Amino acid sequence: MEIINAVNLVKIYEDKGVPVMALSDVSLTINKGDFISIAGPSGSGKTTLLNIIGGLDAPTKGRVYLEGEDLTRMSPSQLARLRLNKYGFIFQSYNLIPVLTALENVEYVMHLQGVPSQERHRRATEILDEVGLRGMYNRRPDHLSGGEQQRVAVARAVVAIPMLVLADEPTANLDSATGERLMDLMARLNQKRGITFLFSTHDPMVMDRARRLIRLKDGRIVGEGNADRG
Amino acid sequence: MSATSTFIQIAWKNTWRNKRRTILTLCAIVFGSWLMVAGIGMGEGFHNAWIRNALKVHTGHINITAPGFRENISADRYISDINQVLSAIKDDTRIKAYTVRVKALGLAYTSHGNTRVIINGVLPSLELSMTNLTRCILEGKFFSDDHTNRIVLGEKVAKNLEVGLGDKVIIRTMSLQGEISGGAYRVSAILRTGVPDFDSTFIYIPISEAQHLLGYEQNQANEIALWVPKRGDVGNVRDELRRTLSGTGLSVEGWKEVFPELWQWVQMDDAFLYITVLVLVVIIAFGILNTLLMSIFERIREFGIMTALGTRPGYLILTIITEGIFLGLIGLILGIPLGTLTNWILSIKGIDLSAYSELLETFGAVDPVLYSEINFFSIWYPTVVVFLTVLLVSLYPAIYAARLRPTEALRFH
Repeated sequence: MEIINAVNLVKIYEDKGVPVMALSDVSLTINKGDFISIAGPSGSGKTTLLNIIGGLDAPTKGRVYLEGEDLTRMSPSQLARLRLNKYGFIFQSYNLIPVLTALENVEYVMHLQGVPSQERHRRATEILDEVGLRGMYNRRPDHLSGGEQQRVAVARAVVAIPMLVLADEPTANLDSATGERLMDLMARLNQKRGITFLFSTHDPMVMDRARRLIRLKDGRIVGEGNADRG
Repeated sequence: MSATSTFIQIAWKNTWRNKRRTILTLCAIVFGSWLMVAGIGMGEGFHNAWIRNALKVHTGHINITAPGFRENISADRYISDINQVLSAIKDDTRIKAYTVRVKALGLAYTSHGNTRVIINGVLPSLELSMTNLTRCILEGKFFSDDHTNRIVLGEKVAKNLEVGLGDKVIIRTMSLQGEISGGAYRVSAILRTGVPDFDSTFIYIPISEAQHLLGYEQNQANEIALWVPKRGDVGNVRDELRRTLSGTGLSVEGWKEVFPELWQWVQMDDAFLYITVLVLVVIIAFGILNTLLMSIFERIREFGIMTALGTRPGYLILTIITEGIFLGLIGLILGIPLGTLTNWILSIKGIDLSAYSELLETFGAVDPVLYSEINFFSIWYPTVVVFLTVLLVSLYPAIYAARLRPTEALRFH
């Protein structure tokens, strides 16, 4: 079932008055349950594409449909509501809220959604246990390792069972063993919970783990297929 | 716990994220609100003391005269029936004291010299209960109600006439009938009020003597002065008396009209006080603005994350304004009691200004120790001002953060 349909996306940035083409006529569909990697070198437009699909940025041209609804016509507050209820985000540098504990970080999105306290706590502890952080609920980010922080970020992204998790280079700041464990975790969540993942990367290990690989270069899709055929 | 309480919790945690900066900002707020409370309490206390002291010499809070008498002291401008006025005030518990005066311009002379004077015919039991003239007696004793042919002189009058206690002074004035009238009086006391005009012109004689000099009957006088100790009552009593006495054609004036110099001085001092308060508010405002802006620039990326996760801009505004409110509240919780304590101590011990007594004497027989006042205004005014300042200065960083585009904020380092 198709959940995202991006059509002819163009994104042009102004850099010191000079227009820079970040995306050029990119079209792509994402189906429920996909485990997709967008691969490409730095500056190829991976993050821009993720931001546009995630409703964090608007394309210069083109349309993004989420279950048939056009994101590019939505107001900032509609987009905020959409991001809250439909998306999960994992960032390269973890980006946890530093004053909150691991548990509070995971509960944060559910707070915004108005999930009742007991239910929130149950789901947050359950997912933290699942990502291997049992006993670390009350640790603040500065008392967690990079890998642990990224696992909290994954837990935060998936706890509300979003339609799509967007992960921007999730393993970039992790050592290879930790990165691999994180990919195991995401793959398990994909299979077990049916959560759709779209991640950008230039890490061959991550590309290998994806079931579908889209290659970007200079803002254009230059290849698409299964990872092993990528 | 609702989302709102989560953001309040986040705001509280953020407040203590950089303890040193928060404590420095709190110091500015505490210091500022402390000074504001103490400053207003002292200002109010000093004003009230100065007003009280100045009005206690002679003027009182409310003056009832014949129209135009204050501008032009003349025998033909008199209250024709003082009993009518006294019956209007007798049941008013807000009026704690009053005095009736027969007043005239005249000439005092002795064999050594002469001087222009303002004759005040008074009944000592009334005059001394309303004024603080007893405190101003330099030598001698104020005559009593049953005395006749006694006179009390201002210090400079006595000096000009070169008289002392027991000496004789001749007074001459113009009667209602347009005739020169006069009498001889023995000096029973000499006054020093500290008010130059007063000490160089005022003399007191028994009211019956003055009535006789002016050709007045017993129920006729020129001025009735009232003492209304609660400042807030003065306007009401004045207005009510104006209505009650409207048929008599008498003029009822408050002390601000009778003694405009004092009122102007109080207003000027108030203006200085408000400028001081404004300076303190600016100090507090910059302290909070600095803290919040620093804290926001440190957290731009964090706001990007929160926005990306679906946080509505309103919640970001709530968080940042709440941080400002926390700073303001903590500052006020410490600063207001400190200021009130300072006022309390100064209301008991006072500030001794005897070194500046000559300057203070401009406004009469002033107690050189001035006391602060603890009143509701000195507490609520700084509280409201600081709180509104906090809200206002929090608004800019809050709106700034709420308007950040998530992609820009996430790229921020």
